[in-house]
Amino acid sequence: MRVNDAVSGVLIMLLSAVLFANTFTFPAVPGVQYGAAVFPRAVLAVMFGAGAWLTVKGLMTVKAAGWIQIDAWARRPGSWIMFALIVAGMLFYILAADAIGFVPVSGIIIFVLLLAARGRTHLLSSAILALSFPLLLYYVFVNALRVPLPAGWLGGVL
Amino acid sequence: MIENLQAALELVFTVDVLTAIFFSCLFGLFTGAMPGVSATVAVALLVPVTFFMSPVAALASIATAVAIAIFAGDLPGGLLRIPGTPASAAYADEAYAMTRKGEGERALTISLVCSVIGGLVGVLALSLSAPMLADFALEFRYHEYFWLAAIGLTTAGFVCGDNPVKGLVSVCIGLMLSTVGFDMISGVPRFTFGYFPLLEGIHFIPVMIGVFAVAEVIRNLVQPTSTYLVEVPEKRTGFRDVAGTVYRYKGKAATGSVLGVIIGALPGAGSDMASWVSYAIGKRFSKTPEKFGTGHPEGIVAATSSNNAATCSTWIPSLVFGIPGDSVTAIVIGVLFLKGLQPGPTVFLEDAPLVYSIFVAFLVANLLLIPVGLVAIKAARQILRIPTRTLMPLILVFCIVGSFAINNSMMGVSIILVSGVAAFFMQENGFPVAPAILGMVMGRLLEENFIQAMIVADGDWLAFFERPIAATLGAITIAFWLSPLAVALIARARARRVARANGGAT
Repeated sequence: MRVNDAVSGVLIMLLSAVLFANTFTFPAVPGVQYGAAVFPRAVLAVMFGAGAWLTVKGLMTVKAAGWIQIDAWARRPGSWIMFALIVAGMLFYILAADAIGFVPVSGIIIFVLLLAARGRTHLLSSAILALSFPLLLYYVFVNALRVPLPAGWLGGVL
Repeated sequence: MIENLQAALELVFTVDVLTAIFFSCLFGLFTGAMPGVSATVAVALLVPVTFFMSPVAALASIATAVAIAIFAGDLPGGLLRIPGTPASAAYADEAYAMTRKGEGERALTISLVCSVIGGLVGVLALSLSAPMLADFALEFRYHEYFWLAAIGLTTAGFVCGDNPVKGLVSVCIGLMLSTVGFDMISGVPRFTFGYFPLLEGIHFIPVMIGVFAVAEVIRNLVQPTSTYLVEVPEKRTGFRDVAGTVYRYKGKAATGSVLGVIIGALPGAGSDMASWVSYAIGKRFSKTPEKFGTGHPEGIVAATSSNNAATCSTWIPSLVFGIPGDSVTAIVIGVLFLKGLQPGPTVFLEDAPLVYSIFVAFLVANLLLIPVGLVAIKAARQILRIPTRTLMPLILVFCIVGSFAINNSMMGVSIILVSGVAAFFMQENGFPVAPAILGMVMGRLLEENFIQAMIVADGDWLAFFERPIAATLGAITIAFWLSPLAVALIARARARRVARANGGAT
């Protein structure tokens, strides 16, 4: 899915303008001539300029290329369901892993994504992977690398 | 020096030191290949173990683990586009492109050989010219650092992708991300929008995992094009072919190694910066710059020899002045103190055999890297036999764990989610993402030195060109800035001449 560079350019200009405005909220430190806002403002000015350049160049191609090009994958609803599942999986981890634990949460993510990607034909192998891979990672990261992954429900067992 | 070297050899070639080196080699391989576990974390994990070792064994195992971990970061970087360490990020795309062409083993073997070459050059530099290099590094002040960071950023902007303006936008995004959190100089919070965890700033490793790996997972699951990551049959790699490739780009390996030594010796810079700058400079002075990014070994040769050379030379400022060059050597200085050693110029006089034993340990580690690395490549390559649809969900969970491991917080997972989705759409629209990572890595360095240079010189821009090294670096940077303009002007003049010639003919 490709939008015209003019669209990206306008978005970039908007983003840099909003952030530029935000630099005026930085508390002023008395006596400091080159304060916290100097560097971000310089970068944002460059970014705004680049956005303007893209907008102008993009507008020249609108007639030939149009505002948006939608590729074959973006026309399939399945692609967007997959996309939503990936994002939802990570959100689910962020919200639930501390309470439920690393192993069950990542097991569910793997199982759902495998099911969505490969269909129901590989149900057994998907289940085995969803059970074993999180356990393996848990063992490696917690015991060997001392990363305190959330234990959650299985806290007493693992 | 000879008697010191002899004493050092006797110190290193004992059973307990060699055992320590062997096990830290395996440890470095394992930790380096895990995304989110950087060489720094590997060393930090090693420190409690070194309490029980002799000083030589302790320093030797740290030196080994670092040297091996920097190579091991290339394995997931090349095969799956998940750089294991930030130093591998510069050429992860290039190596991954080779993997997709069925040349994964070749890319990694080239990377291994060049890592060893860079490492050996680094050891030589460390042992022959440590005090001299340290003196040179001390010449670098704010202005020189500013120009160095500016060179790295400008070249990266031009290096990636076809559209330099989009590269520039990407660099700016990275620089802006590096400003989030407390300002280092005035202590003012910036761009936190009242959200407390952002005060600490955004760590670039989760961003790196998100931008490279999560975006790749999304792409492979959403736009499935092939059953396997590598559709073409995997090409067999002979040692002769690898040696030939490395020989063809021997100039790149040499400049990469030398740049790595110099950049590594600067306090605050390190192997990450060395590999980016070498990749960019390698492309700039290549005969075939258009091949960079399409799976071309030249850039890999330059960058990977550079980061391994830098891992050795980062020890120079630490040993000579007690100033750590990066976070790994900061830990090393702690270990030196624990073992009753005072880093500083006198360490070369009072504990010369010990210092030389560090050099010997680096040498042994780099030689050990060849067999261990070859086995690791053969083993890691098997991962490409798993169908993409099966592999990607597992990698997603792996990324989650890696981003959590940075500082054991859910913040890292949130960052990979946002940066992964953003990078997916950026790449769909032709914005290269690697410059953003470089912007994050160098942002703080650039800003601090820029602001301090401005304060020192009271806003005088000419101060940026006053000292010879600064003036040279500044001139190079400005030449880089002006080169696209010059190229465009020359092209236009040539087109006009051709048009006139054609017009005259008809």
